[in-house]
Amino acid sequence: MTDPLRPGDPAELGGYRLLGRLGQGGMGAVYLGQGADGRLVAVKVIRPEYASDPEFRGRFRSEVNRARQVPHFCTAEVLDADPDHPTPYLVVEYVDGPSLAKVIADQGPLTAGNLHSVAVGVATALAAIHAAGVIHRDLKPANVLFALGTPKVIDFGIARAFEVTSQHTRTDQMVGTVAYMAPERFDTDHRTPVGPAADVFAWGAVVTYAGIGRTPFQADSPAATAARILTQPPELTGLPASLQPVVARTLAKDPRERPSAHELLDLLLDVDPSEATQVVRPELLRVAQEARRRTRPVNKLRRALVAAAAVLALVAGGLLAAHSFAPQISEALGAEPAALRSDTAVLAPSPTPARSRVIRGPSIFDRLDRPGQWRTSRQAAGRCEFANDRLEASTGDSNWFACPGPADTFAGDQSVALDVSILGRGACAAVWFRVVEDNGYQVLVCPAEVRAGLDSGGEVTGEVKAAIPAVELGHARRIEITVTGQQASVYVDGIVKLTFPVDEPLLAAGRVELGPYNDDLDSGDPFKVAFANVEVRTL
Amino acid sequence: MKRALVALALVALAGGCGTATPGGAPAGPPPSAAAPSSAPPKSAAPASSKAAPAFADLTQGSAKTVVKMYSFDADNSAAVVEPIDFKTAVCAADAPDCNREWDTEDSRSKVTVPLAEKPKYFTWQDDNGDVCLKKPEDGGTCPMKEKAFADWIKENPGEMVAITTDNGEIVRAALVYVP
Repeated sequence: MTDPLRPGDPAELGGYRLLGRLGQGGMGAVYLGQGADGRLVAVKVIRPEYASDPEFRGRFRSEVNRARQVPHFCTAEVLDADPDHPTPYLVVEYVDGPSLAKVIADQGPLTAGNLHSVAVGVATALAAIHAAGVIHRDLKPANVLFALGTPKVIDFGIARAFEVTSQHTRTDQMVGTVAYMAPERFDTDHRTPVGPAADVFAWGAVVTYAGIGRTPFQADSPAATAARILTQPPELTGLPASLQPVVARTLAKDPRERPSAHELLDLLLDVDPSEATQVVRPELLRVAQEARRRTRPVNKLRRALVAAAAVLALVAGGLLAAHSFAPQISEALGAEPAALRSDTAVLAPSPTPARSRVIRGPSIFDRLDRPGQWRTSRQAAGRCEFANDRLEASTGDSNWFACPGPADTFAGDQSVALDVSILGRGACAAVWFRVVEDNGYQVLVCPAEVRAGLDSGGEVTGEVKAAIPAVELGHARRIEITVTGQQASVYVDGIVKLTFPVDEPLLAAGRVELGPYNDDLDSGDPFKVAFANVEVRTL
Repeated sequence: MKRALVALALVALAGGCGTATPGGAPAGPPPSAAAPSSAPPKSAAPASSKAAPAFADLTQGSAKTVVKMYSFDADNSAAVVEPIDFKTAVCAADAPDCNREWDTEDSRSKVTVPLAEKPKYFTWQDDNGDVCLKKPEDGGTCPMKEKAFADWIKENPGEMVAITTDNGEIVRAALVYVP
């Protein structure tokens, strides 16, 4: 069911023509789009309140990257995404079919054969998702779609970016639907890590709903449902006898008692082949068996490598086993909950780098001694070329020029540090930050002064300036611009020279650009500057 | 006593996961010829109570890490990479819910890294289709030609590569197998 676009909806995004609205979810609107090759896709556009949060963008980017690594076994393929777009979006395979929720609502519980196919299909998807290091976190009937009768799981992994944001901003909300949430997710402090076992629990709840039309802990309210999940056994009456024991295992209160997704697939497929073919469609069976082969878990070699360290895990595991909820333990002992994560107890050390750097957000490091994140450009308006181990830039028939550089955007507290040399007396070196289209904050480093202001399409307002000691042409100065809150400071060789406001609401985030700027048209010198060793950091 | 035992076990586990923050303080900027003698006052940066993960510093010295490689330019001897935290054995091998061999965490830091004069390149599958892979974090072990490596990155920007740097230059680059 596709609704027409509404006024204000984009007509195109990321090269995909938007044809209509598929729905509106917690993360934002979902559109039906069409690529240049005619392929139909679902374009998920992130809500503005999320888009303005740079940390969310980072998490979104990370989760999308992981989701793109998920093999396409009963999962909707993640095709494209742009976390840095002013309106971040995600493009996924369009599954032209109803959701499991709609099928059950329209037609009632599934027959035994169809139910087994759904059970195998969703377990296949979970095995693929978990094998790629992704946890779905929001598996429910609405996220299982049918394409030509074959189930496909959608929206895997992406929930995490929203979940963390919700922790920061809306402590009264949780990502997920209560009826499908594992007991370990009901931590009032919302600090218990969610592992793949939570998805397996959700699988059990989804299969129960598909088989009998109600969830295994169904109650009159979300709070009552949560209470039943935490304290009561599941109600599975009506499920086919062959599925009941498997579903019961997946709904265990203790996540360690649940099978992994791969083991679940084994349990569902390790039946007599002729029997399996009778209850599961052959094409689905082939996909499931291939997924089982490809997503085989930790191998024997790795088990041997970690055997020695496993003793350590047993110590921690044994202590944890005495309790049901890690946060309660951690609070009692004053320990950090993250350290108690059973699903991240690392036994084999990763290769240790010789040096390490602590990163708090997006950052860029480039010596500018060769094409890398900044690139060569030769245009009538100006030139940017790499020579003498630096980026040398000059204007042409324009009075300024921005060298082509990275599209990464930065928001919040940040710093831009780089070496700047003036190679002609009439030139200034320009550093623009929080650039959006033709607007941004501009800092000019000139032979005898430094200036800063808001550049709106070439018109600079609120400009402040300060004198700096004259140096020989070609002498490199270290310039650092730091943005803290709504104020920016400009340091020249370590001494603060200027402070100015950065409070334009439309420029809360943007790119960093470098280039030459004509200042003294009568100097007779070339309008040429040089940059080196640029570091852009999130503070 | 019980508290002490738990704390000891937790410290040991956290230390082995490779995500602990060494030192606890942000690393300073790499030295450069024109670096200022006095940096901006530290108070300019807001204090953060959250420990941030540490990633390989590819701007100097030697390192061995997995990166996402966004571009590779043999003509200009440069690659643009994002170091990531490649965590192996993310759960106990015998744990019932353990079905991941590795997990990653992005640094969100992009670094332009020079190539050494003659780096060595490796893939995880040779021309006969045989797999050559020992540890996932080391990437493949079958040699490949520079052009083939460049073509692969051009076709697959952002894919994971295990790199080794020496004196701030890439000396080894191996494609990481992603199932």
